[in-house]
Amino acid sequence: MKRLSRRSFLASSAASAALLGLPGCVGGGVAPEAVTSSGLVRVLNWTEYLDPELLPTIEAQIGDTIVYQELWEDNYGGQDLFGPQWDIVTPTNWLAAQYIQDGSVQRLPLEFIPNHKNIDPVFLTNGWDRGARFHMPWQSGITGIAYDPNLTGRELTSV
Amino acid sequence: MLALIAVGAVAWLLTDRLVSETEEVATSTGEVLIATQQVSASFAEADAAAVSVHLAGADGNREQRRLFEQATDRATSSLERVARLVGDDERSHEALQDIAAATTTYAGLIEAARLASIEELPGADAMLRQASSVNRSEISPDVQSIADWARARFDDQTSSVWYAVAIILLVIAVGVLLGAQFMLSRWFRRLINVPLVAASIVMIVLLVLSSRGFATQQQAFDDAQTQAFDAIQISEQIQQSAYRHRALSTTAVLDGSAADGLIDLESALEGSGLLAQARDAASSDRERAGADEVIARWTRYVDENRRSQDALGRGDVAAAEAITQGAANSAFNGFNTTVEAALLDNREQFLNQLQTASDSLQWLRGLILGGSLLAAVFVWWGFAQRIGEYR
Repeated sequence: MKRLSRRSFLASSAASAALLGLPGCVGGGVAPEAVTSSGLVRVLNWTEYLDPELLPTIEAQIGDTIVYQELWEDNYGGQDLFGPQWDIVTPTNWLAAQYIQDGSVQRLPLEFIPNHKNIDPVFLTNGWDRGARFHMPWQSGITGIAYDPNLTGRELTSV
Repeated sequence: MLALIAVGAVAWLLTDRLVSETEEVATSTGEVLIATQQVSASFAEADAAAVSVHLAGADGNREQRRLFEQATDRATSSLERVARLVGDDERSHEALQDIAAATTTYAGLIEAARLASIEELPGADAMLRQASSVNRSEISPDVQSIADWARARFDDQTSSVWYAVAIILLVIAVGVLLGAQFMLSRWFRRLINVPLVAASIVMIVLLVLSSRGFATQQQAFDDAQTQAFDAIQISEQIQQSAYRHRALSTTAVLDGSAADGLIDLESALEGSGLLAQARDAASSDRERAGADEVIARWTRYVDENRRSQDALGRGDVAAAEAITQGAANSAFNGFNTTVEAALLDNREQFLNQLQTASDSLQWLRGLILGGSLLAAVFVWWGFAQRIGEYR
């Protein structure tokens, strides 16, 4: 997590709700103001939290290649095990708090995340990241459920 | 030679004083300025949460209760930090004692109001109003006083002119050495006295390095002021206006009648007011994005609050209470936390620049003392050589 997230990825992710909400452990250390793009975004996620078939669509939108792996597991040791090379990782909030506290993550580049202002205030008041400057909430409280009405044959209004 | 040692000693003393003042700005005064604003923000959040808990009635509101407790804990923690950092400033310690006493009263009133509300006893509204009044009329002014005194110290410490005196002394020393060299060459037809030239070079190097060190320090102070501290001050004014707005609104809901004065406060913040000033003071795209978020969240809060006040205007107190403890409270917390986050962004920048100012002078004390002694030794050697030749 030593490298910054990519400009275009973050700009485009504003329109891409699926990735926008990823807890953004983006880069390491105190934030420099400039964000540059290497054309590569490396995302480390939990297993089966994202449909991999969406990735080409997102890549087309942002114009960068996404290196995507589903190896994340808080109890495996997080970044200690996977190394610092990931741009975005998805720890559970207790571990995100730990990363932020020990200075392992960089400040989010707000200038490329216009949807940051739409985060529910309940996620801004965490003592470990006031104002959500280092992370963004995703899949908090409830797992998102998506469905294709063509396959279900009807709208699902309850589970 | 003795004059040179004296010049070095005085320049060293002046630099030492300057270094001490700069270190104090970096490690104490600047931190106090930030911590006092965090105290204000935390009490505002505590107030907002306490009102929500109260308006929720007998059922309470666990989330808001949690926010209240966290906010008072943060305020207490910030006050303890101020107490540690404020040094031997007696006025500030007295104010801190008053704040500690008022905080106990405030927390007691909030708890009493909450219990009275749960037990449906009379007087809960009055106790809550009294708690807000303690916050506004006792805690906030004392916190503001501590911030004002720290600001005065900051201005005093960052505008010190001791560096100019040290530079003048070094210039005089260089002038005397060059003059001595000139006199020697004129009176004794000696074109060059090598040790004296070496002493002159040492002093010139000292002068150049000292000037650069002082210039870096002054530039870092200026940057801290213009790039971070101005924004911090505007954030503080925004917070104060927003808290007054929030307090007026919630008091109006408790009283069951629409509030006066909200429009004036909104005018102070909106349009070309404080929020726009905060955006103008931003020194990077990231800070501008943060300022835009503050504006968006303020607008949301005002919209929700307006719905609440409209409900009050219609006489629908229940609807006003529901909005105030629900959507308006949530929107206010979003706004308040975003201002606090912007403040923390500026805090980091501010403290980094103060640290740069402090670092730029750390090596100068030893250099001035050592350089002056070395130059003195060269001078002694030069004159000894000249006396030897004369004999």
